[in-house]
Amino acid sequence: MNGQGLDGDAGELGALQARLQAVANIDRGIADALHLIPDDVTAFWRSRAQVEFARRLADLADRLVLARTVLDDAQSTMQRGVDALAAGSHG
Amino acid sequence: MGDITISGGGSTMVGTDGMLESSRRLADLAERLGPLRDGLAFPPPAAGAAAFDASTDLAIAQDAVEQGRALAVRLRDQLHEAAQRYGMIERAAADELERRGALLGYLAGAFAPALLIELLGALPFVASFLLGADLVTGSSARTVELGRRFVADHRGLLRDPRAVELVRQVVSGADDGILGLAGMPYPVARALDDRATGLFGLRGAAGVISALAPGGMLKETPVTVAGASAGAAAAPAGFADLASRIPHSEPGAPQVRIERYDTGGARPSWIVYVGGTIDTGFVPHGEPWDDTSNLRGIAGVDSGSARATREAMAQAGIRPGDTVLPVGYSQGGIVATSLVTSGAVDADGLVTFGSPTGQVPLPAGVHDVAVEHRDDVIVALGGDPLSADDGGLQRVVVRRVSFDGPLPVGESPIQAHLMSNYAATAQQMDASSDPRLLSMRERVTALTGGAPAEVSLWRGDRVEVSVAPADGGGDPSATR
Repeated sequence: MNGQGLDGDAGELGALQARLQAVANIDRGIADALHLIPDDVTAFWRSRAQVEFARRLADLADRLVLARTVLDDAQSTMQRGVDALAAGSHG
Repeated sequence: MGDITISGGGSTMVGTDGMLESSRRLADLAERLGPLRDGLAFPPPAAGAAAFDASTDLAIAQDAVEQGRALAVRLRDQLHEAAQRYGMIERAAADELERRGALLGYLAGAFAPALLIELLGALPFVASFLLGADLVTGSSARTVELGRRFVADHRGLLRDPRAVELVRQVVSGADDGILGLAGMPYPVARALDDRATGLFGLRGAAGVISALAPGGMLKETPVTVAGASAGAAAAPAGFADLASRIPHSEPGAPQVRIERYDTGGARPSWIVYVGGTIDTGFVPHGEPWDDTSNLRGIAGVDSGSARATREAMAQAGIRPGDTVLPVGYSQGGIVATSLVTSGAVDADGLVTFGSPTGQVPLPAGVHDVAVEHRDDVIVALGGDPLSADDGGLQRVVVRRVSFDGPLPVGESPIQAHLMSNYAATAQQMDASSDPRLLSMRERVTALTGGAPAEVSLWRGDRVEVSVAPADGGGDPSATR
């Protein structure tokens, strides 16, 4: 597909697949970490009028959600690359 | 249901369970996010995959994870600082209260004769007031009835944590009052305070009251012990199980439960549960779990209930050197604590519910979990707890206000002391992930090995003795 031949494509495909897998693992790790700040923890502090602390906890959760969203985009991009490289290596 | 707060256990922090739980979660979160952030630092992609490596998105995600990690660290540190400040303020307030309580107690004692004369002088005014009240209500009986009803309707005021604190200070000042009454200069009285020197304090005051009580009041008797029943039970899984196994305070019922665990060692290990006060009279009759034992226990001298418990342990087969976990409620907590302080058992743990034992220093290395409701006036009868400087941090104190909403002024203040309320607190303790509580639960598991228990129940009774004219009674040290 890019003129480097089958071996080169297979190496790139393997590297991209490995990176995609690593990103998927990190995405799951962040999802697990997010469970440490469930809504009831934030609500606990808000109910005690510690609004600022509750806001910061929610802010923390938002950043991790943002990271997951961006990682979802990254995985889509990488998956497209994997598909393209796989098609090229077989075509 | 009010949250539990936990203090002590070597920590200078005091925090609500929610605060400590959040702190632990944030520490865990920060620890997890570090490797995830590092994992997103990928090497440059191969040329052929450059269009699909999503470097920009990965960099944004990495930055977001790092910001989240830094925020988690900052919030964790802020919570720690808040808990430390909370602890410092609480200790400073407690020290100040103790100083004021001691001064008030001393002044009350020093000026007691003058105060008595003043009170006698006020009697005509009191009589006039009552006469006026009778005219309004219609009769003396009606006045008395209204007064009785007023007191009954407001008895719950003693459950106000501020009222409980006041009682604590009055009790703590009792020793200073006695020394003031004896004409001791105030600086000397302070220097003798047992919180600092162990020379004369609440324990000394309780001892004086016990010794000076007239007739047969507060005087010890011999006791007898008999096994009541036996059976088997699963090993306790946590504090709620420990609380539920403490014998109920019922006349004629067993006061001691002993569980034997054969864990494969040369000797079995044991859990000894001791119940609370049954007879609230000051003149000892047949029941050793009475106020005579309460006062003697607070005074730090041997009591009928403690002797009966030791005798039950001996009859159950507990030998010196066996590992024992004493667990007690109210007076049972005083007894359980005395088992540890007297060296009667080889204990590395102690669990008490609603016991006035905060002033009792324990041997180093004993893990002590004390559960005290903030609205429990019985706990306040133990006076001020030991300060951090005097080893008070060894005690892990779990506190909670046992009522929800506004103060239940119409309820008996004893509600806060009920074992059923402490059992509810024990359930919260089992749900807590505080390492100090987890540590005690692990100790219980290690002691039992998860094996089923051989259970025996024991009943102690006083041997009623007539007061001999020469020596004031029988030999209370002779347990029969």
